[in-house]
Formats: sequence, structure tokens, C-alpha cells
Amino acid sequence: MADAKRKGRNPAQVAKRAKLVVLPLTMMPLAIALVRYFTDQFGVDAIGDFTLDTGNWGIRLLLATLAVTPIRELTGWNWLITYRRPLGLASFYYLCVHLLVYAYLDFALNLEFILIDVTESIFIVVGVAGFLLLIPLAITSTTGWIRRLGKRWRMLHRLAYLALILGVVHYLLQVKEITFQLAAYMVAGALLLGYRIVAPLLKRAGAGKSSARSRQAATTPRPAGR
Amino acid sequence: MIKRSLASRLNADIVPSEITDRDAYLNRRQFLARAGGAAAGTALVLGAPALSWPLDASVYANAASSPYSTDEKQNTFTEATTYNNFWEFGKQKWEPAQNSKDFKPRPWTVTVSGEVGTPITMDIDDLIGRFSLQERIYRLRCVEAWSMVIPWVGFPLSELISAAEPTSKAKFVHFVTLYSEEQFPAHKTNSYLPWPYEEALRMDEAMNELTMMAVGMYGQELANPNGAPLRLVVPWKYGFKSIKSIVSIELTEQQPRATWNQANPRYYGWYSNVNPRVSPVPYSQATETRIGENGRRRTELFNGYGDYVAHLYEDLDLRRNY
Repeated sequence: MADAKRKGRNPAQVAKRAKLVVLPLTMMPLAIALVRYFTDQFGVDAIGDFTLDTGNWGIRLLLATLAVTPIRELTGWNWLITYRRPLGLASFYYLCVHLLVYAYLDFALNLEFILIDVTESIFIVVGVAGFLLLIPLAITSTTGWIRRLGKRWRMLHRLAYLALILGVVHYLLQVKEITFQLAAYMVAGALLLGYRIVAPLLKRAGAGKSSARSRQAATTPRPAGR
Repeated sequence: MIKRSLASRLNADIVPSEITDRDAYLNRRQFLARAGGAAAGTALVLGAPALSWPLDASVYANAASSPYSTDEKQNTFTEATTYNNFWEFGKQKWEPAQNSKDFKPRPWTVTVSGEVGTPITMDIDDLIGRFSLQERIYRLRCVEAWSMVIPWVGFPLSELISAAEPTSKAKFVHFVTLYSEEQFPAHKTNSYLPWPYEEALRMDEAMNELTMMAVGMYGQELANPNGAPLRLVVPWKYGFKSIKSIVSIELTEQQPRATWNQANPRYYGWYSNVNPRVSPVPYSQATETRIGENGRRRTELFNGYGDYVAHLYEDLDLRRNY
């Protein structure tokens, strides 16, 4: 029903509106973190706190991105799909800042030290790998690339799950014990991944042939706007 | 409540004119300590504290300077007292500062026992009165790859051990933190580490000139988040070796347990000497963040104290015995 109301609307406009809602909202934690950093409101290890904060938001937003499709399928709120791209990009922006804080504030761009740190720390290797996976996803998030890649776009963007796993492992490897937050990430990640594996199987077993095509149409975002 | 008000009353009763007498009194105590060390034979078991707590601030402020001090820029008192690992008060680094406010470092009794000729059971202020205090500005390197520079006030551990007259069987020194469900919130509610916290040194490490017992910092009494009233400071080892709020020092023949080593022997070795080339933990120990600085520093072998301690490990494969 919500769909019906929006039927006549220009998809580019819908996408733009989602962006205008998501971008300012998701950038608020970053604004708060910047204010805290530059006004000495983080703890004694401000750089560490800044790093942790941006990494956490990167994972949270990636979880939110990957939650869009399951929630949409379960509730029928198809308009949610327009929020997926800006959420995914917001996650990517946070991880860019995360890396920038690490390289510029923590290591003062000392390449020798960074190289030692990356090669000697498994958790850094894992984290960097997760970030690298997200780069092609960010690049191909545009409407043009969605159109160009067609079916392959969905395959490619499943890498987001791998990136999420690497991100959570990156977190897991550096803590002395599993915190509530980390446990929440693991549970949420497992649920999302589990849904994507189980839901198609259930559908195939249950509803018959026509569902497969409609499912594909639903998960691949329609080219909208730029 | 009653005890605290009594302590504050005692404190309030001290008028400035009485304080000069205290210096003379302390000197006399130090003299007695040295004389006592020479006499020996009988156990030093003392009852009521001879000095009322808190001790006069000058006890800490007038500590002699030490040739072992670094001239590097010191961290601030706030940094040193609000960024701590002291899991008895909680696992987050800000928690010890918050949760140690009601901690009572007095009255406090310390024992030196085990393979000694003269066991010691002594009130902490009595103990402090028996040593001439020194200020030593040491680098502290945490296993989490951060470091600080902190001016400790205390005395060499070797002086305390010598006073107890170790026997020929004494090969190790075993330290134990207070166990108290009232004093340490985590003792009551959390079993993430096997309480009480324990640490240990080899005898030659304990007798090394750098190894000190701290009772003060920044010219003041030791703060609660930093292990009041008595802690170990071993500057060439990762910070967790420098056990806090000590009640027992036992000399042993067998290698004693150490808490983090027991909890995760793969990550935390029994020696835990600072070593940039060995990173058993899943992150690099090659560099460190000096709290308050941007960028990283190169971590030095033995935290830069190799001239004093490298000879202790000449026959040891540091890669295996980390």
C-alpha cells in the first residue's frame, strides 16, 4: 500500500530524498566524534577512542545496509530499498575516516611504522582486507554501474557480507574478551547472513517458480537517478 | 564510615608546628630500620601503625632524586590516574578512576614470607617509614602498545627483600594483590580473571636495582587507580607485571603463578619483557603510542633499560621465553 502511494513518483526523486534523509543522520556520530576529539572530550587515549568510534559506526552502518533487504522482504516496505545505497556509502565513509585516523593521527603517516604494523598484526591485515573489498562496492554503487553490471551487480555486492565478517573478526582479534557490543554484531551478522541463505531455500521449497524472478527483480535496485 | 571519620579527625588534629617533629621521628625510624636489619634473627611483627595516615605530604615530596630517572617529558597526573588497567575496578580504562573512589588503602598490612630468615608482617606506614624514599621517573610500557612516563616514589625492592633475609632456597618472588569483595567490585561480581591477582619475578629480577616498590607518585601518596598503597614497578616489563595493591610478598623455590600468564599463556609470557621483535599478542609490539603524543615511537628492547637488565637474560632465547 505504501508502494501504491509512491507509484507515480520519479525514482530519481525518491533516491534523492533517501539520500537527503540518510546522509545528515548518519554523519551525526562523525560530527560528534570530531567535536569530542578537537575539544578533548574523548578519554586520555583520544586517538584510540576516535579510531574505535569510527570503526564501530562503520560496522553498525554496514549491518544496517545489509538489514534493508530482509526487513523489506519481511514487511513488504519496498520503499526501504532506496535507503540501502546511502547507508552502504555512509558505512564506507566511516571506514575511510577510520583508516585516516589510524594512518594520519595514530601513525602520523610514518610509512615504515605502518608497514610494520600491518604485516605484524593479523587484525590489521583482516581489517584492511575488509576495507579493500568495500572499495569496488562503493565505486559500483552508482546507477550507471548497476545498469552496466546487470545480474553480476548482485553477485559482486554479496562481497559486503564477506567485508562484514572481516570487520567483525578484525574487532574480535583485538579484544581481551567478547563485549556485549561485539556479541551483538556477531548475532546480527549471523542472522542477516542466515536469512540470505535460508530465505531463498524456503521460498524455493514453498512457493514455486514465479517467485524466483520477482525476487531477483526485488533485490537488484532499479536504476534511479544518477 | 567510622574509620574514615576517625582518620580525618586524626588528620585534622595535626597542627603545622607538630610536623617538624615528624621528620626527626622518621629519621629515627630509618635509623632503627637499619639497626634492625643488622640485628635480625627475630620476626619483625609490629602491631598498631606508628604513624597516623595520611602521612605528611613531605614524606613523598622530599623523596631523593635518582640516577635511574629518565629526563623524558612526564605524563600528567590526570593522564596517569584516569587511564588505567586495574580490572579489579572494571575493564574499561576510565573505570578504575571512577570505581576506586571508595577504596581504602589504610589500614593495610603487608607480609614478606616464605623462604626468608626474618618474616615481616607490617603496617604499610610503618614500612614506608623504614625506607628512605626515592623518586624515580620511569617509562611504563603497556602490553596494549601505549606508554607513559611516570614519576614514582618508593624504595628498591631489594632493600625489603634483604631486610627479610632470604634463604638459599629463595629462587622466585611471588606477589599477591588484596582479595576483598568489599574493596574491589570485580571480586564480587566478575570472575573474568582468577582473583586475587598474582605476579612473580625471578630472584635476580627482583633484586635488580631498577625494581622498585612504589608508595607514591608525582610527589604524593600513590593514587587508588595506580595500586595504592603499595605496588611493584618493573620498568623493563609490560605494565601488567607491575602488580598493584600488594598484601603479600612470598619468596619461593618453585616458579609461582602469574595471573595473565595463567589466563592466556600464548599471549602473555611469564617473563613479559618488553620486546619489539616478539609479538605473541595478535598485534605488533614494534611501536607504541606515548599517551599525549600524536604518531608512534619505536618500542625499545627491555623498554630502553637494556643496560641494566640485558645481562639477566643472556642465556635465554627471548623468542621462546617471552
